[in-house]
Amino acid sequence: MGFGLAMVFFGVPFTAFTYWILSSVPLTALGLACVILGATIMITPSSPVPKGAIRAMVEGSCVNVETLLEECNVTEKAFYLPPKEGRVYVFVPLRSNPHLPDASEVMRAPMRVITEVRGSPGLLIFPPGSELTRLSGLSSGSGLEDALRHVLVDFVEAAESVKAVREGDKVVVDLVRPRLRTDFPRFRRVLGSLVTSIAGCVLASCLELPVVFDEEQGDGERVRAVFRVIS
Amino acid sequence: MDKHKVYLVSLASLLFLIVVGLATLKETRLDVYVSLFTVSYFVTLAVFRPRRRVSDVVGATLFIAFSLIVAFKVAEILLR
Repeated sequence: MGFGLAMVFFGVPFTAFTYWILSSVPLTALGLACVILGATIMITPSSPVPKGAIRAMVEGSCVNVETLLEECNVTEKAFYLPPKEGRVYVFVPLRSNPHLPDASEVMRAPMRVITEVRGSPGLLIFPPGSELTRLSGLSSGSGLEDALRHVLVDFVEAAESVKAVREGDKVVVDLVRPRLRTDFPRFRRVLGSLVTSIAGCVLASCLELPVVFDEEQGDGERVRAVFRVIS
Repeated sequence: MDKHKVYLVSLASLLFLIVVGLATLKETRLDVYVSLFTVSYFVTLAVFRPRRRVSDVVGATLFIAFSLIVAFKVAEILLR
């Protein structure tokens, strides 16, 4: 900020001096370049988000979810529900059900921690990615890949790059170099790893349909997550 | 290096290269410099997508300047 201000303070009189006194266009342009660069430095935050702290907070927020999942002995995969009042919720069935409920049934689930869909009990959880998706200011008309990139790469900086492909009712999300760790086995099994969970929230928000976390494969470098869209 | 630092270094390099390049070519029209500054500013903005403390006043100013330059050029051609 200080350096930017110094550049602007140097650039403005330098531009005026070189334009009116020296009549030198290249030097005037150099002064203008100083002003542009200085002003850009001023409006660009040097440390926009204390990344380490934010990531630690996001990772820490998984503890409560993990505890709840452990307590209820949940093993079923999560349904990421489209936003209600701007927030994505996750429905996790407590019992195995071979027939997936349809979208309207899941979305009509009463808003309680322990709720039910078509008589089948389940948990309604507020995942860490929900608030991140809301705060990222995701625009409603964004494409899948653009939305995922906006939240995961640009906003949270949780991955280096992201690709998404929709094939019928399946969406495959490929994340390169994820930077968030999830050492919670139940969380990983039910919601996917933290980056996958955030991706699930983005997909539900973007498609405005429930998506089920299907599977996840990955090593340290890449994570490939598969979601199923329920319509 | 942090994305924002790469962005600022890239923008500084591009602006410097434009000034040196056009000065070498003995370009004396200030509007050419400003137009290229605007293009390089928006190119780096599109590539790095940096966050902003406030709204992008630099981009808005450059865009207005660029629009005026284009408008004057068009008027000049039409009135010739």
